[in-house]
Amino acid sequence: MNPEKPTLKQRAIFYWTKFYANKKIFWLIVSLFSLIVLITIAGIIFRLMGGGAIKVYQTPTPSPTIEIGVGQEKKEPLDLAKEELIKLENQMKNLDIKQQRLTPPQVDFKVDF
Amino acid sequence: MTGWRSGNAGVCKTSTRGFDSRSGLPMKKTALTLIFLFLLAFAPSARAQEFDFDKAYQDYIYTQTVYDQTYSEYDKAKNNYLKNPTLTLKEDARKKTQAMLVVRDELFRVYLSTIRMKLLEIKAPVDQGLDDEITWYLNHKNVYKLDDPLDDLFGKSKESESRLGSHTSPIAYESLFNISFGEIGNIRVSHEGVYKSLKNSIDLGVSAGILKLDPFNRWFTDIENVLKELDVINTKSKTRIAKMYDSSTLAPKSAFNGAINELSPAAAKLTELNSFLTELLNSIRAQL
Repeated sequence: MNPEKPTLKQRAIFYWTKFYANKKIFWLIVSLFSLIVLITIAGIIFRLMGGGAIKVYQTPTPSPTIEIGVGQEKKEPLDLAKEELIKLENQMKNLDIKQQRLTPPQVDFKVDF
Repeated sequence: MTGWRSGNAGVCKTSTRGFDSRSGLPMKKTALTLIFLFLLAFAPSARAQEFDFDKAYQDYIYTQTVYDQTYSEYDKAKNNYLKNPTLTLKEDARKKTQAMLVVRDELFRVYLSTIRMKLLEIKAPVDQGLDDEITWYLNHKNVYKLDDPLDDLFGKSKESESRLGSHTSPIAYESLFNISFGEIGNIRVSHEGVYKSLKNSIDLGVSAGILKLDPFNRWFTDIENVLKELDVINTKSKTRIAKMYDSSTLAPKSAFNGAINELSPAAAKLTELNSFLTELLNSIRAQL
């Protein structure tokens, strides 16, 4: 008896064969897998076609309005302007007009000897 | 192990019939195709991890470190050879020179790519010349062959030096100016957006009778004067950087420094604009 260690390929074939032997489980898993693939592909196609945003159509019956709860505040144009000005002020503080971080590399061209 | 072998044989005996049968083979292919399609569907998510300016900059810093290291090795090997000019030491110096020259070209390629990423990030136009330079360094680093004699390496090194002066430096400095110009332009546009929004709020408030136009109408004039001053600064700086191409005697770095000196007051003007708009906003709130 000279035990041989199975190769990766042999192991893969073994487990695949074992999996394939049980037809019910095999087809159940393959069907579920196919469903996931189809949904994913459909999602990608839908997104590529520009259908990412949900369109809201006007209905003849009134739709319920969303109530702003406690802790939620609708932003007024003046609040937005204030936020924007603070953001811009910070941007200006970090402005590096001389682009010191991107100065061209200093290298040696006198390499001959 | 014996168990595994016997188990394997046992399963194969009963199940591989399906594989070998006429109907089994297409089923196996279908299953594998489905798995392949599934993996393919997830490929775009891997591509989504985009190469942005921060990553490019990290890449540049890393390449600079690699260059410093290869240069140091070259310098050491060169000095060893000059002290003791043996064939072995010459060969070592030749190899280190070749390695350093490849990294030097790579450093410029990565540097120019970093500038390119910055321009894209701020939505500024990328000059075709910049892309041409990136391609030039990408190709030129391959001209340094492993078995090139020292004299050939020195000759090819001069090509890089010449390219830097004639093409790379002008386009690099012009791009650096465009980055600063673009950043200032973006901040200005955002301020203009805020100004428009505030003016709109005042117009609505005046129409509704809850705000008085005075003193806002005079403040508008002051704000618009700052915007006009920014226009003048922009024009002056643009004219200055263009001189780099008009005059062959003006070095790109000098042209860049001159243009940046013209552009620098824009930062102070933007700060003034920001404080004017903040004051305008606070006054609107005080009246409401």
